[in-house]
Amino acid sequence: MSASAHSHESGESMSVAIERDERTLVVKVSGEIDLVTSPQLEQELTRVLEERPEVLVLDITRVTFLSSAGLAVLVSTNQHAGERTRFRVAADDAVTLRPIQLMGLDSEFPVYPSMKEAVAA
Amino acid sequence: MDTDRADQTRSCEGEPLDTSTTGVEHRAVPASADRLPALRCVLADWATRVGLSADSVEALGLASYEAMANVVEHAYTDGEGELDLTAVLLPAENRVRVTVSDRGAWTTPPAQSDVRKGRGLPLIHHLAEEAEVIAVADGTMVRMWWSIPAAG
Repeated sequence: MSASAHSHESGESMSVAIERDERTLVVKVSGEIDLVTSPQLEQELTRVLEERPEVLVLDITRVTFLSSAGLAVLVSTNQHAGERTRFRVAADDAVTLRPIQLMGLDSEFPVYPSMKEAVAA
Repeated sequence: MDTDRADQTRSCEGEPLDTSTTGVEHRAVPASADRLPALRCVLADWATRVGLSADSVEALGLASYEAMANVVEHAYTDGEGELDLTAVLLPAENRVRVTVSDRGAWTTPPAQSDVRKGRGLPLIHHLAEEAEVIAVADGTMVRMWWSIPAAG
């Protein structure tokens, strides 16, 4: 990714950074995605979808907690992405991958073990 | 490792860290989303000390969070209420039990109220070894169990 990253803190427990090139937009999240922070993440993802990227990668490999409120954001982002944008998720450990798999969401959108693989897919 | 420890201490801030292993008891906590991270942190700390596997500690933390989140989101239609959180060691069964209860009424069953958002209860049932949701006289009670692996 050559584009410069813009990043900001959303409260204390979650931060979001965005990287973009011509066709791919990567949203990197770290910290906790819970009842408090998930509305901020949803807002951010809705905003970047308006740029109509070809591919939107949500990298949650550095997320330390993912609750059902966060899973709902993943599902709604995938729905908003629709036909226009291909939505992909990077998740790699028990904290993030386990709830995604337990709820069968990995059959709704593709999940990759790393951001690089999600971008290259 | 040091930073992990520092993070944990910070996120438990505001809630006393009981160093005993007998249990966790937080009664009449305001049912507000911003109270939940500290309660989850206290629970995870306790569950680690009583000997649950790292996997079970994660599961217990998330399932308990979901049970408390259900109270915050569904129990009190007027927007204000309290929740009780208790965790106990059951030596005879070699298990722990986490109980989350409220004195409200879940106006709509959370599992069906919104197909998009209602993953709290299904997650609880997947993450806990055993779980039950009981309507009690003055509210709703969620009870969840996890086993402690045999030492050695």
